[in-house]
Amino acid sequence: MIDPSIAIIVFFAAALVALLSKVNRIIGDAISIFSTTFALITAIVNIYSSFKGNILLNALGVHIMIYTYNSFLALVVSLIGLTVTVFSVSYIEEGIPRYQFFVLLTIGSLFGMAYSWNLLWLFIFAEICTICSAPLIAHHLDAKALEGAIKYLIIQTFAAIFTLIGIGIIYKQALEAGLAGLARISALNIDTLAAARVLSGNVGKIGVILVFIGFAAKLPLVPIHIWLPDASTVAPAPISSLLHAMMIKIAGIPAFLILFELGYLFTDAITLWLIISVLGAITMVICTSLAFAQHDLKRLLAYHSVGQIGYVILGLGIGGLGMAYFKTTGDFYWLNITAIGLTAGFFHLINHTIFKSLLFFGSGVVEFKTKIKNIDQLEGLFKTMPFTGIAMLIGSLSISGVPLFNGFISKWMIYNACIGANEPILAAIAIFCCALTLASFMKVLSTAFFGGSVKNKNPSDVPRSMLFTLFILSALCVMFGLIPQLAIKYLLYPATLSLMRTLVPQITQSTLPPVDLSISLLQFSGGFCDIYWLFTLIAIGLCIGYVIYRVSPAYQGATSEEKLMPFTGGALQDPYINIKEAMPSSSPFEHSFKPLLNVLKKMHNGLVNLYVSWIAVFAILMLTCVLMGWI
Amino acid sequence: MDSCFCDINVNMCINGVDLMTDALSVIGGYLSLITLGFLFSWASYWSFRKLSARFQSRKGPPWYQPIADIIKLLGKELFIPKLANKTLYTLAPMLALSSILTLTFLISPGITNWIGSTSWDLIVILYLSVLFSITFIISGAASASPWGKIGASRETALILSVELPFALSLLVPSIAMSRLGILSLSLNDIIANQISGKVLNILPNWFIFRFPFAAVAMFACLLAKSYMKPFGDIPEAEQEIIAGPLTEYGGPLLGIFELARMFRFYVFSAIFVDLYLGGGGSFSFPLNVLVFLTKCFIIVVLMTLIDVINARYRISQASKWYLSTCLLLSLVDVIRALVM
Repeated sequence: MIDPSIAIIVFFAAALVALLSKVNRIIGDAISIFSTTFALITAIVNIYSSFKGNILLNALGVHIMIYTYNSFLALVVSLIGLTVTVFSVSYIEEGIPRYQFFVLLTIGSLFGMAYSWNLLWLFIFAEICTICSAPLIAHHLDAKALEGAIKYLIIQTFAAIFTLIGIGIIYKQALEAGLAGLARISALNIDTLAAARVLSGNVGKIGVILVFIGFAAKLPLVPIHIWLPDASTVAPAPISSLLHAMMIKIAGIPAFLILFELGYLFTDAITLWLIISVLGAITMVICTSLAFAQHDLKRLLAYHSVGQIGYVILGLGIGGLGMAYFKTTGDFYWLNITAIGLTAGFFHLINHTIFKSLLFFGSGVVEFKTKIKNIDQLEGLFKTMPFTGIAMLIGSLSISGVPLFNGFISKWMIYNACIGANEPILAAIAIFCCALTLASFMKVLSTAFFGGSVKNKNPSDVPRSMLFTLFILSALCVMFGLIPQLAIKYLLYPATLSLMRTLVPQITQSTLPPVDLSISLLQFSGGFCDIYWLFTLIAIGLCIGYVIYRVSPAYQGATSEEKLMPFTGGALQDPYINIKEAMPSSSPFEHSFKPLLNVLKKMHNGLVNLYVSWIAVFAILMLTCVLMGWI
Repeated sequence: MDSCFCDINVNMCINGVDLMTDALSVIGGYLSLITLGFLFSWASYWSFRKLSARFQSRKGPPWYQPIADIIKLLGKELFIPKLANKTLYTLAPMLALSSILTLTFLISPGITNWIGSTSWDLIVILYLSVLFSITFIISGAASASPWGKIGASRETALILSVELPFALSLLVPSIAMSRLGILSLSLNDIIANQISGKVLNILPNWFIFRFPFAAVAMFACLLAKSYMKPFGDIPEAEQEIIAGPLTEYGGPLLGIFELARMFRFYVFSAIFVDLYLGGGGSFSFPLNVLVFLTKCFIIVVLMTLIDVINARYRISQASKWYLSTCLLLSLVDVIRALVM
């Protein structure tokens, strides 16, 4: 194994070296690629060595256990970190030294968060991450960028206060109960707290809930998600990708972790996890519907990533729900549900990381080439930049949960988990949001990519480093869609199991029957075997269609008549018109959903006062639940 | 510390021994159900056209007309508009055919031990029925015709309005069953659950009698999904936008589309019969399929009646109706199923 603190130190040192890229930018590019690659190797080596057993480290006076779960998060960070640095090589053209300095610090602190089990270290790394990503959001240094960055800082700082107070409360209780150990700071290790069960009463609950709220503001959970779209619209594409693809998850996952590990504290943990799951479902519905109303490509993607985070939260929430039921009933069936829920949540986390960064990079390429942000003004991009078009298509299909792509598998597992936990309404909402996402991306693809005259013809080549990242990420999307076992078996399931073992150490093959798990993991239990049959049948259907098409006597004439223009009834000179011009007023979609969208838009008016008060309202609601004894 | 790999016995590969028998039964079932579905859809498409014609005091087409149309289209000239995206333009009809054929196979023909039925049937049905509608959107967007774009936009709004009540009312039987301790989404189990017992001591134990509101919502959603008036044909309203997404299509590609759309009569009526009308009942093998087909045919006639007596509404009215009345109906029964 490699000590992860070495990788963190490498990052921080590399950040200093990257300042030298004022002399020559190659220094900065090389050092960032080197440090992220080193982090990637660290993560992979640590995953491999954690299979042999958990690793105990003594870093900076804190005992740290490294589980497969930590290395899994670190792998996500380093993978996306690597693609971000490679993509930035040709994308960022100004302010290179400060850009690379802050990018490396951000990735390094996220890497630190992935390996931290200690609340104080989590808080410190989260704050480094927040402070270093603010200059990145403001990278363009225009009025809008600065506004976005300041909003982001204010909201995050406000939320961080909650975390700090919560940590203080927990620390005091832990020390009073005599949990000091070798170093006092070790008392704040989440796994130590979970094992020693020293927290108690309403005070302990309030501490945990405050920490939860602080981190949940980074993990954009409705109603405290509102800062994210504003921040990511103004940031450069690789930074949006960094922000969406990993920061919101890695920095936000302690919110889930602390509730999962310290669940014993709550009088009614089932209600608590139901609240979390329902919040996940609400996040999904609100943000996916809002994404429809957007005309800025990046803003649309930003709303979608909040929506997709809803899926992650739903999966993890069902995992926690299973664990809560297990603790009350002692039925091992619920451990299976926990395993499926957590595996599904983690799988969607990594999948979302992959396809969302793919989509953000794609939008970055489009913006880089055309300098247009509005979707309605873009057209025919499939013809001018085919590779980007294919990458965006793969990303869109993955995010919409279309079979054969990775998003489908993880969403499928989330539905399974919901239904297994007897929450079919949540499953129905998740499926509905899936259709909503698909329709929204159809709008983007049909307006900006397919069809259309090629008025803004600018088919110059896209830089190789950008194409390379797009290719790698698209390949990952397809790979995880076709052979999901690869990820599930060697990465996600061990990570889930390592996390569950912290609570139920006796979990082995006999207590967690692998047969039940395998049914839920993508396998049909009915008459015929598994999902590959479904894919085969769809492929057979496609072949039948193609055969009919090819054997039809008319097929020969296909190419000669290709010059015909679309029929417009003589009403229009130019047969191709934008969807906007084709409509007498607003589009049928917006016309139908106007009342709903108006309400939602009012909630997202861009005023930071309103956003901060949402966090306060959320905190008050959660604390009321605690004080009334509901959770 | 024991190795993590010991626990990872996630047995997800197909058993080598069973593969051959599975493959044979799956392919056999696929072919036989597609034949059945084709013949049924042919018959019901013809009766749909004939009945509508008779209601409107027209003569109506002869019995071979639906298939004659398709064969004629396969022989017609094929052209692809210059500005269209060629790949998607040709792929859309094939995808439509593929999704509807897979659906035809997965839905049990009224029997309780159908090999295509799995424990996650309902989710697959939801997915594939959305995919079927999505191909329509793709075709409209890819054809570069303004009518196609408007049609695609209307179809998007329509499926989004329909999907939520549809998903909820689809899950009502399984929620009700989960209260009885059967955790399954399989159509086999849903049909089996409706065979024994009585509702109010007289009526058969069908879900339509236990959850009438959800059944109505489901029926309304199926109307939209199978392009029936008053809301279903808004995307292809011929008096307003020529043929919507299909405006530019012609020749074999339109033929494939027509073939795929013919299967809707079988698929969407079969979903309703299996979920709410008790499938084929407790009869033995050949008889239960016949009973099932009869019930399906009654549903088709009912759909035809509604199609004939209604005019077409605006898309905003459709969204409003589905997201208020229809959603409310399905929610009422979801809550009833949850608390009963």
